[in-house]
Amino acid sequence: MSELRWNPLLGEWVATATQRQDRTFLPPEDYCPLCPSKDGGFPTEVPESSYDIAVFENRFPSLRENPETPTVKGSDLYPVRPSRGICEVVLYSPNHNSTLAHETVEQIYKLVRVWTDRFRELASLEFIKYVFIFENKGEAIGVTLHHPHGQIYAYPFVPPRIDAELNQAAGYYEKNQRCLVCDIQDEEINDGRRVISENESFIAVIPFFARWPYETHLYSRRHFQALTDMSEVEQRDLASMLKTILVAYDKLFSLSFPYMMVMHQRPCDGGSYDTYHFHIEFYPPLRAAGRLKYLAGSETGAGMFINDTLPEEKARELRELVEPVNWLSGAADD
Amino acid sequence: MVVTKNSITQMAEEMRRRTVALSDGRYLIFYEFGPIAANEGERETEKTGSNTVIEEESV
Repeated sequence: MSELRWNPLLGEWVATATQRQDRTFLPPEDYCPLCPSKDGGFPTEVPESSYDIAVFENRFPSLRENPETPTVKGSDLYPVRPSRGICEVVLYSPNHNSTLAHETVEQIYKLVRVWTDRFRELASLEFIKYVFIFENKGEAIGVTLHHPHGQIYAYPFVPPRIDAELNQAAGYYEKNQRCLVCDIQDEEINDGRRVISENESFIAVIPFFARWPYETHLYSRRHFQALTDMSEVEQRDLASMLKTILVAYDKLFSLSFPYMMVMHQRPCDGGSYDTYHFHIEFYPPLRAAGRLKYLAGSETGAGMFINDTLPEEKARELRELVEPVNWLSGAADD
Repeated sequence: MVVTKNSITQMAEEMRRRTVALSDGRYLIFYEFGPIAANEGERETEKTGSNTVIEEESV
């Protein structure tokens, strides 16, 4: 059972999705539902013996194209609506023990192309207003399946975090006739201390205002709004930059680094968002080896993050771990 | 700071999308890259007989 319930205190929708309580939880490798199916093995989500990159509708979705009728009746104070949308799972690789950091840049480039195709298709649906591409990696984040994968939520509204960024970007432009993220990039490049890596199309920084110790933002140098605006060179440079950052993350504490990776693009509700600027944000939950940054009272209850570290120092740590990427190999430096 | 740069040459590579309707009503999309294999047409979703290929296209 799922539905969207309006939170009048914050002015935002909350999805209930009780069926997700039954989703597969950390199965042994032989029973991974995201692996290709094997002869004589149990049927997985992918009924073929291999694949390159595959996408499927989530078996336990928070949003679905044809949702059931809400279980409760709404009111003026508490509007309720069907949880209409689409939830997809994106399988990065058939290799159960891989991670995005271990994939070749070529494979990540393929993934960028797949993300672009999914954005194009989902954004074209009349009932979809925002396409959100993300990855939760690691048990520290709460993942229930270790197989390398990401997700796409196609929402029937513009989610509040994106809405806040859109408003900030539009307000900044109105005041300065300049793009906010373009100016953030200039500020970061001029300062230099928080820059982790650069290539011709993208720059990776721990921004001045980072909320998480190793929060990293990837900004496109060129001003555009969505994956579908990218050239092939930019797609390749994005793949290269993702590989660079992910490998540095894994080197940091010599472990497979947990993170949330989120892609911020323009909405697809027919509006004009020329002042917005495509970017990717990483929120790793570790503040030190074996120590998690918890979202406690101030962060959760007041919305004010307390970062126990200095972005300038954390950026230097990561910058020192960056190595040139090799396009066809799995590792950064082999 | 290490500045990384792509040195790969352009690869003319096609991406294809093969959409399969699963027996429970959901869809599964295979993204395939590179030249079309000689036996591509023979491949089938063999594990469950009730799945159906509903669309195949270049993207």
